[in-house]
Amino acid sequence: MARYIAKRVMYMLITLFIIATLSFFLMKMLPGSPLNAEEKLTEEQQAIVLEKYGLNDPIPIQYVNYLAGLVQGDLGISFAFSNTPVTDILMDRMGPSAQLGAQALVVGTVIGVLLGLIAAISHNGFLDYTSTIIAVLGTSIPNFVFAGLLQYLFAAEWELFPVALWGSFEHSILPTIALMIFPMATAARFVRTEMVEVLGSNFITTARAKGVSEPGIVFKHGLRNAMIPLVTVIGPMAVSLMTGSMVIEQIFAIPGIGEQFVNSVMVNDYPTIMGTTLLFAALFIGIILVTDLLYGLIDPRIRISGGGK
Amino acid sequence: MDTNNNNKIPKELLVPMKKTEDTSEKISGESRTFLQNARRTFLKNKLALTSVIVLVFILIMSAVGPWMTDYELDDQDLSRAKMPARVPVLENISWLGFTGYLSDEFEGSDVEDATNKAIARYDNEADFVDIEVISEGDGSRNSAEVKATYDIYEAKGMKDEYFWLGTDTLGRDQWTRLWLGTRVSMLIAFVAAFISLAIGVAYGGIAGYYGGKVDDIMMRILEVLVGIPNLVVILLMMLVLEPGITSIIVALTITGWTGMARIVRGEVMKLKSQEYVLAARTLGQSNWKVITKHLLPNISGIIIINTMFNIPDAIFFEAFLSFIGLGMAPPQASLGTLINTGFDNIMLYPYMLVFPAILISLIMIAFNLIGDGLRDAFDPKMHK
Amino acid sequence: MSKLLEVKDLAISFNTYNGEVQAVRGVSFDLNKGETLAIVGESGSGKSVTTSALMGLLPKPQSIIKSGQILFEGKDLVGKSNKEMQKIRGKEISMVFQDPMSALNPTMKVGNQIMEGLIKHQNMNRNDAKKKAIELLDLVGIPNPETRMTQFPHQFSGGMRQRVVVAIALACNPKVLIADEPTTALDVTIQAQILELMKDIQKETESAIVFITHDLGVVANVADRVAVMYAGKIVEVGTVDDIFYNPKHPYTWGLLGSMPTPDSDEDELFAIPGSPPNMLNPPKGDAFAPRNKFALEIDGVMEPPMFKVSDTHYAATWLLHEDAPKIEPPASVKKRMQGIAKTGGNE
Repeated sequence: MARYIAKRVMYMLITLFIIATLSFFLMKMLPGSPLNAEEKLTEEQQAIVLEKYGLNDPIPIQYVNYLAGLVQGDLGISFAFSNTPVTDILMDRMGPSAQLGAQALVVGTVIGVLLGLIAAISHNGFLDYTSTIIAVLGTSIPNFVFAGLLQYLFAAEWELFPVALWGSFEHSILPTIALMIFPMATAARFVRTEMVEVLGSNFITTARAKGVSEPGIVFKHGLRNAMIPLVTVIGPMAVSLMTGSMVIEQIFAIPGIGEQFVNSVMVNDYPTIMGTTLLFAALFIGIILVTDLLYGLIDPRIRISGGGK
Repeated sequence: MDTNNNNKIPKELLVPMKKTEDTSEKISGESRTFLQNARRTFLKNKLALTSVIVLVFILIMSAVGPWMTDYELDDQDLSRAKMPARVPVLENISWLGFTGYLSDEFEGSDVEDATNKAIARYDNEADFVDIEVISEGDGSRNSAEVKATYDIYEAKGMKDEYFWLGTDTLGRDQWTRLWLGTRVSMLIAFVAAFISLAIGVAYGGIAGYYGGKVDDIMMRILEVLVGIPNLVVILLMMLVLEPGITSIIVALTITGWTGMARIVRGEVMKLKSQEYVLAARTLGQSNWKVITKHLLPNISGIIIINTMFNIPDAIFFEAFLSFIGLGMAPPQASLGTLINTGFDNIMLYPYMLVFPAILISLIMIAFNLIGDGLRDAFDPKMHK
Repeated sequence: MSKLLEVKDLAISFNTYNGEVQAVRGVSFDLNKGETLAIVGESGSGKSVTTSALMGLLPKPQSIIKSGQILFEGKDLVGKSNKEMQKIRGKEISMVFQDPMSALNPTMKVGNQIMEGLIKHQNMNRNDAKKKAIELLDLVGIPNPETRMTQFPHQFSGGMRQRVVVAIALACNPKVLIADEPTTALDVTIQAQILELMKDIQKETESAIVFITHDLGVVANVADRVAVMYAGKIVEVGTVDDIFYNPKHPYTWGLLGSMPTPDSDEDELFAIPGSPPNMLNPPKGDAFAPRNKFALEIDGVMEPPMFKVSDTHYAATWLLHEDAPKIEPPASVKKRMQGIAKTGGNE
């Protein structure tokens, strides 16, 4: 198992290295520079600014410095906010994004699993159709459309929640709902399909033949087997949370990483854009790694074969 | 277990039976090929069928819709900016929202205060604002409430004009822009999905069919590519490339084909070891024949299904990119840019968001339902 | 003597897309304490549906019990609620399944799967249940039961898994054990081990066994009595000796004739032509007639009743009518019967 984890972490580092290299050279190809944000400067002043950003060095040296910085968690200095390291900007804005993402993922998955379970039990019944419709709508309709709908109805029309901004828990409710729709619908679909299949399998008959009660069949024997494959959709869910954070933080004016990213795009603040991109990449790869390991933990069949390698 | 009524049996029946033809081996029911079965299952799926009709309608509209009005994509005219939707005939049915009136509720300390606020809000055109008192109020702050309805078409002297879906902040006709935008979004999605399909099938097919070293190398490369989140690649690509249709297509296909390649490779690997393929090879069929006669027909289902899910993904990503400012650039329209403009005006002019939002949702739902329907249709378990 | 289990005129239908399928059409049999009854028949003859009904495990809502009774110790199981059946399943009547590869929950430790029934039916605490489960694993011949308890099904071979399934079924000392083709999915050498195991256990626990199979070779080995099923009906029932040495129904002849024995040449096999009838529209008269070389005219008109051959032996064929032409089993079947007489019963 340890070897397997080590191998996976190696892969992860290589991938991150590739992404970092790629984004560094892309950044060099782009026209933006810290001088754009400044007022008219004399040649001397320009030279000082360039020196500060290390842009006077030849590109290979810059590259090495960049990588060395990365290892120490230094993502460079923002063009837009002079003197502010990108790492600081991201750290400042991590809180709301993390809270939103966690709330959406947890609430969405729990509700989704319940919906899928209810659907599977009332197979082809009214509740099944209802939850299937919810699932299809939830996976199809883009989250920014949901966000718009929620904002307009619950905040503007009925004034039940704040329209936008960040602060109290109430502020986080609408964005959380908008963000959780996709994980919820995905989980519901997945659990339903798996559960219907699991409930039809032979070992469920064995359990019934033992005299296990219906709740026992569903929760003890069914749910665990049906939830294991759910791990495989955590990747798409993570991507949806990241794209979601960009649009939904923008719509609700939440000072998170996503909103920062969109603003940085507007003003061509490349160091911040690259830093955010790297952060997203690391998060995504980390999540995939964790879920793969998790999969091995909860599915005994994988645990053994994975450990042997 | 009774043996009592034997005597009633007529003796002439107790003789060997004259053999009639044994019908037990006859196959009951007509025989259908797999594709016929798939088509039958699909055609019985009402949701999927409705989705096909809706999609075809949307595609036709995106072709002919823009010609149904006299306005062009970029006909800016600030004098007619932010006009609400107005459709002949339908304008008389107030709840449909195609009346061409702007209307909202205003609060004030008394009715007059609220009314003034309303009129100030509606271009100070007091003559064209209808006030309806909801509550008189008692003089305290925001206790009075009025509902104001503003006939903006009349006020601007454009009673003869009809902007079916209203105009945007620059006075451009939304109907025209909506269908042109749909056209762009669909174009991006279809082209991106088909390029991904071609690359994915070729890559996965080669890796799966030849196996061994070839497969090993190709899969290692793929593993690294898959490890890079597509969101990151797309964002990076969009930063570097000039905004536009081609760039979005390139960004989407750079990562889009990997999923297809993995699926196709897996299927081919599985099929390759099936006995009928082994049999075909044993009988000396050429590689080409084996691929076209045995492998392709059997993986076509999964390819089609996968593509059907890739298209709405591409539509979503285009909208997402345009929304965060990395996609289509103004004055070009796409569903994403329209939604972006809509959000800027959501509080005062919600109609600008409503129509593109409904349309993109419809398209996404339709594609997903068709994908689901196809998946069922190609699943032998679902054939009845 | 009162019977342990008595099935009376049981009829079960399935509502399908194409119409009503009459899977079981009036089946009656009984089972005494400690005896083994084999139910033999082709796939689709209704034998598995019958046993599902005994367990109360018919798929709902497609299947309906049209008529009949299942008397277990005098109480009718038909119409008992699912809750009531849960108290009987696993405790009074339990079941061993055909495919050991899929009959165990892949994500649950084997020990827990055995203990589940014990905790539910015998009100044992986890420790006692654990001890008992280890005993059971030992009983079914699994070495190192303590370590095996904490393993998952995929760490067991097919034969070992079937032993676990047997252990689960035996956990609460059931009075009736239903074995639905328990050896079909296993290798031949493993088959013999499992059969041996079941015989040993029966001696020890005195459970009655209903043994479902399509393999007459297995029947000769384990059963006291045999019921032959065809198209949802029992066509012949008798002791093992009755069925093997004095079969009366042409279908039983066919079954015996199509069973190869070591000293038979291949061309001597007596095959039954055709396929079983479609139970969507069962044929009029005797359902076996279209495939029966020895059919009589009356088979096309009227279903044969059960004719009594001896106190233990009944068969549903008009050939047993006193006025019917006397027809002997085909020569190859006779030869086969002698062959079985030599080898059967002591494999």
